[in-house]
Amino acid sequence: MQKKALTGIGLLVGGAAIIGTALTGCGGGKNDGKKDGAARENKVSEADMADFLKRNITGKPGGKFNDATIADPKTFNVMLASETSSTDILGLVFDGLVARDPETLEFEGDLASSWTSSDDKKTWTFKLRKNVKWSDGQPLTADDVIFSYDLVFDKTIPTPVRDILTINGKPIGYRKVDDLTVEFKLPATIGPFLDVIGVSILPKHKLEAAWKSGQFNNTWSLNTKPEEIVGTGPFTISRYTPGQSIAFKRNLYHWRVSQDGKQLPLLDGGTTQIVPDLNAVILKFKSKETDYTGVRPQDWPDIQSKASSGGYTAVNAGPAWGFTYLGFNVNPANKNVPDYKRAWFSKKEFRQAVSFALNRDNMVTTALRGIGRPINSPISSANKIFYNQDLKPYALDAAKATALLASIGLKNKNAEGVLTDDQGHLVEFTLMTNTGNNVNLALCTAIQEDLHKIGIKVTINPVEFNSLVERMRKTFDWEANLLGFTGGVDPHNGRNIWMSSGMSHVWYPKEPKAATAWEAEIDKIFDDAAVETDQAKRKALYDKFQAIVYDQQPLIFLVTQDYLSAYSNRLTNVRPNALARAMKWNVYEFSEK
Amino acid sequence: MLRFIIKRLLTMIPLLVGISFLCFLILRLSPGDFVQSLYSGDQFSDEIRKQVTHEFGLDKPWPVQYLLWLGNAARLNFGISLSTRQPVAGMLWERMGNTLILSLCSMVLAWGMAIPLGIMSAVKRNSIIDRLCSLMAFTGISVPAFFLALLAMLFAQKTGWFPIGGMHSNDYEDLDSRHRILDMIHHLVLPTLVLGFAGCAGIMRQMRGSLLDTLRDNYVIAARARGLSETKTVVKHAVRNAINPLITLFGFSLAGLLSGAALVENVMTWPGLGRLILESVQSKDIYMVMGAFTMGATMLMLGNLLSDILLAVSDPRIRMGK
Repeated sequence: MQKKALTGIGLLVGGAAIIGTALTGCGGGKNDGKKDGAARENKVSEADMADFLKRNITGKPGGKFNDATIADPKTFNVMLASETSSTDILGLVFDGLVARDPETLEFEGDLASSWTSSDDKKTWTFKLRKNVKWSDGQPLTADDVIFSYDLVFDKTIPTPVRDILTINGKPIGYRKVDDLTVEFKLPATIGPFLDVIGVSILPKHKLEAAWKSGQFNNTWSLNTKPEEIVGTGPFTISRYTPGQSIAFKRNLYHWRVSQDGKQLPLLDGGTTQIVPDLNAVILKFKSKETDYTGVRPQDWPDIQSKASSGGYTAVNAGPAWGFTYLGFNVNPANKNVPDYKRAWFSKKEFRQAVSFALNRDNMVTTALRGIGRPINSPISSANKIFYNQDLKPYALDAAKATALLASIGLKNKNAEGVLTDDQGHLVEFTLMTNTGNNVNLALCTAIQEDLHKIGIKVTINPVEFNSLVERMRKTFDWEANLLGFTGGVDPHNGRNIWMSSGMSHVWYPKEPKAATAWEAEIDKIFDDAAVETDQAKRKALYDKFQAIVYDQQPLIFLVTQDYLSAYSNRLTNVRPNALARAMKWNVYEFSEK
Repeated sequence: MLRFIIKRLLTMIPLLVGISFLCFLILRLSPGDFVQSLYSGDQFSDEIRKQVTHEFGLDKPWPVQYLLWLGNAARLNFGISLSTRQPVAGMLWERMGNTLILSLCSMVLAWGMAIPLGIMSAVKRNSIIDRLCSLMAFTGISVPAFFLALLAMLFAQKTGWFPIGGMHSNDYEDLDSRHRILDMIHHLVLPTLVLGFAGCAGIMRQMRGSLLDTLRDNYVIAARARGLSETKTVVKHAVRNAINPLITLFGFSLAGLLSGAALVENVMTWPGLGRLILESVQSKDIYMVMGAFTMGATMLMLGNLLSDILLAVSDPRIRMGK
């Protein structure tokens, strides 16, 4: 859901997301790759590579990767791809103009070698790399870029990018300057412009006919011959066997080179097996059928302890960029939540009291098996650009929690030790989470215990995914919920959660107008930051935003899990990254030892 | 006989309509819909959701949707899968072969083992063999197949003798046809054993019980008294009479050919129908699910018909009665 270009934030549901993209190397011995020194097929001469992107790595050409993914792709048409099983695969085949390097967090030119903006930041000019060719040998030109944006603004194609590139109802303007130059004209400034412009560029010569005849949505489906799927990425699809595997081969025209002048990718190809069961994914890795994999917390001790005997490296790549929260429903549309409960949920003191009552260190120890950390902001502490360093942790303080509850009239306890309000209502609520995610369930249990100590009774209610989405989006029939969101670098991505009009504004989605003063303030911050182009000012705005949600606790931030992974020592240049969430993000650099 | 078959085939039609209607009703009444689940990320605006809903005709009232589906299905057009935009029939067909290979192998194994073992434990009642067989049967019945599948996967990982699930090796395409077959057999062994073992248990108990009943009948005593050999008595007379309930069972197991392996397929990553259907149900890909259910229901009815025909063939009493 989340990887699509630079856009949205998806509900992170289920343990599956951890393994979303697993990667692997080659099963030992089966590989008949060419020996060192054997000539490698070269389609691009050294002189033609002058404008290619140099990556700071070395390695030897040849070999294959073997990995696993949990579901079949649904389409090979990257404009229509809406979930990770498709986008993870198509990410190897297509590129945009620019993208953030997940390690430096800086923008790097992909198909664009350079870009400039006018002083008012409303005109942006991108220069394409010279001599970049599609995997069928046709040159990439500005026409392909224009064609791709034409697709984005075709209303019959269901792509979310269109909304992002439409400002105040006006689409951005774009035109070809010459064969290698494209210019964008914005109706108003866009703060995170480089973040939102990274649409996958598609080949006009392959797709124009289908688009003109109105068949674009049915083009490049799973039945399409793989050689028809032409991209600029490091690999192309060579075979798709439904339910079994996707095979890749090297794109001989790819536009990245290593420091020592070797054209990337170094590997000749690879195979991604489709393995729907997460236990089988781990077993396959342990049997060396795959070369790398994401690891769930419950498998981590075992994976870690057998690393040296198993010939692989286990890596904890630091905190994941998403967050897990506890939220309360204050949506007046839901008549099943009684008014007196909504009244508690609406009070900042109530939410703060809950936040102070929670022992987050204990949650890390029990639910995350010690592999994670408490959080106090929706923005990851690993986000060195936007995280607000001044926020202190919401440390466990039961006395303070009790005092806060007393301050809003919740101080009498009944015989069982449960608080009551002045009308005698028990202070209790139902906590909804998704089924099939042991971590979330364990977090719910921890919350239940912690709140029991201050006299609040919690009933846990695990709900199946489809039903959960319906309750969150349509019926709003829930009292409290515990779920997670994935996160990216720019907080702008979270606007649908934080702005009062957003459809993922958990506690009260799509408010007709901001229901409280602080929500109005957050709305203004997001609106301002969306058009602000000065980085320091944007940082200040989002610092303010973090301070507000820290104080108000509309969502009570709980913990975040670390991104765990393991890769075979057969491969080098594998650098698991918590932001990329996919082992394969730099697969073009992987090399056999 | 022919009239009987034609009559049975004709009664299948209203049954199928009824079943498909119920399926559709349940699918529509259960929470969530396809567009909500596929486009659950909040980067998708309501406008896009509405557009896709309209494109797939999901905005029509459900009785209209059902009638449209039924009309098309009557012409053998089962529509497209919402998630891949591919024809449902083609997608089912693609996976059907894989499932059939696995189901047929395990069915042969299950029946091949169960019948002789069942006969043996009935004849040698309360012997060591009978006890061992019973132990095996009760294990097979009580341990869920998916758990056995997990154990088999662990076994494969610990010993390295078998691949960890799947149907082909990664280099399958590069092999010659002899090695392709060997590769597939290598992958087939564990799932076949798991499914065969699970299936064998019930059949074996049925065979044993049914044969024990017949062995007490007067004609068996009479046959023995006339001095017929024990083998002849049991095999020619008693088993022949005891087999009827098993034929019915066989008909049912035909229905399970395409869907019975779903859980094991999922755990052992076998690229069969079960996995496809499970994913479709989860994502509420309704036309895919409807296609699969219709196919399953048809198989069940054909299986029943076939077992009735087999019964008539094997048992003259049934033929005469008709």
